[in-house]
Amino acid sequence: MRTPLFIAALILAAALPAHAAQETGIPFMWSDQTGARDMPWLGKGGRAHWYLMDKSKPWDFMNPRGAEIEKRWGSSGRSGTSPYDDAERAMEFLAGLGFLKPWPIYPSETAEGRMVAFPYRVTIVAIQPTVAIVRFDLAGTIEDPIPFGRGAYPPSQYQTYPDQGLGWGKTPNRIMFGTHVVNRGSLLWFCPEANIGPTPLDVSSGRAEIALKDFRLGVERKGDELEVTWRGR
Amino acid sequence: MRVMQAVRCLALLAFAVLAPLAARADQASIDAHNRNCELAAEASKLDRIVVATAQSKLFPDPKFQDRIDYFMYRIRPPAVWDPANPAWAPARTTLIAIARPETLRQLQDYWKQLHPLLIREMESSFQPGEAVAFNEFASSTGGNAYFERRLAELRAKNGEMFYDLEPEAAATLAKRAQEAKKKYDGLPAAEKKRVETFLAGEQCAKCYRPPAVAMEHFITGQSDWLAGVFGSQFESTDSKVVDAWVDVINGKLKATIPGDTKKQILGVLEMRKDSSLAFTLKFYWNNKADGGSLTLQFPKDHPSYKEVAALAPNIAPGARRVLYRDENGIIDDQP
Repeated sequence: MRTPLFIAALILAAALPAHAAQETGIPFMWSDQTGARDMPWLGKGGRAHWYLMDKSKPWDFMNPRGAEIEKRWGSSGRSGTSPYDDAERAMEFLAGLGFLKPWPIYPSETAEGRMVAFPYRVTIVAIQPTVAIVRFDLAGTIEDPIPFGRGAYPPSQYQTYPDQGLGWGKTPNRIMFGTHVVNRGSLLWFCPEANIGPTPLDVSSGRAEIALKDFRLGVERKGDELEVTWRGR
Repeated sequence: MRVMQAVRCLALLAFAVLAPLAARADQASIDAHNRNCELAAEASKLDRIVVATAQSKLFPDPKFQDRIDYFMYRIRPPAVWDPANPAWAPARTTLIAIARPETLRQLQDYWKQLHPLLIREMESSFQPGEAVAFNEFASSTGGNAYFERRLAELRAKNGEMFYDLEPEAAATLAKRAQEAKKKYDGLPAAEKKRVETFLAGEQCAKCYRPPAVAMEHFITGQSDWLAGVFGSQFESTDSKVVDAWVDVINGKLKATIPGDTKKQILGVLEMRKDSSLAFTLKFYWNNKADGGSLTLQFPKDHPSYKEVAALAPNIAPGARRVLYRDENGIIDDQP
């Protein structure tokens, strides 16, 4: 009886230092690490949560990449999806519609291919299904230098903005997520799962609505930013 | 059997006695070769000729020019100026003038390693026979005058150049070159003939190559390498030193160079004659701050045309405006 407990303790001891250096996750269990993140809405209502699982094996302690952390967002870790995969799918959907085509391409090669000088900022405001708001921003064509990175995010995210983005190698800047968007530049929205391509979102009156089959999202101007709220059908 | 053992013992004994003697003889010839190289370097000033030749290769090298431009773009980014700007050339001349003392300091520091390194390179580049013949020529009156003239003319041609070991005013360098030429021209006919024969590639009995060929091969190879080293040293100049250069240029040429800004410079918005808009951004590529540029086109019927035009109020056909972004993400044409 003592031997399996001892082995389990050894495995746990080996795994703990691995995740301690990065975002904390519990070995082989999903843990809610949402913290102060402004999370997108879930299609069925409520906010998504940010989950982590430390999948490092005891023999990974020498892994130069550090702990193997899996990230998901959704209502639970088990039912959640990878935020990075969702962001990539959304952007590939836009690319498939030819939305990235008019813009020039940088010569440098990233893991995902060549980067497009894309004059928009994309914010995922809801998941399951993915709903994203696309905001025209000429500065989106250039990788944000550190002192200017904050300015791409809404003021309510100034403190948390490093945690509000998902890297995608084909645009100079990250795909954002949350329920707030900067109130500058013309807006479009799209939903890959519903096969809805970029659709104008007119907030000139101070409010607008994104209507989908099972729910609606209200977009309302609040000072220097736009707030997105979930509304049932 | 015993006879065989005795023969073996004798052979071992002979080896034990002769081997150190042979090694000593070999070491003596290596020492003699090294000494020849050292004397030849002293007499010919070959190390200084290598430095001066490397200097002469710096400015014609486009890569080195890119390195100077890299610092030019530290003064202002590529979006607001480039060689077409009227302020560029005077600012570049000023930059070269104020950067020169730093390059002299870098070489003074490096010389402690470079000088012995060049001597060692000579030792491995010249065959013993070549070194003897080269030393004989360099130590002769004619050879001495030839190398003196070659170095003085190279330095005069370089002028007040980066990475100068013994910096002098251009006028002094020109005067020295004239004096060296005069000295060479005044050589007795026999000495002149000696120089001409040497340079024509006179072969010597114990030489693998004509000594003049070995010498030119050495100068070319070493100066190419050294020019590369100078380029890397210049590129790696301490950022605080570069900041001081930028401050000096900002102070001296404030009235002519484009204004400074704390905002991010995004690129240039141009309204073309047909009223369409083109936003051009420059980016770092191939080790150049202005390595490439991309242009985004906004024809009049583009859905974002109006909001792009609004970034540069009252922009007219043919006009160009630099676009800036502040830390809150607001874009306009005000620095």
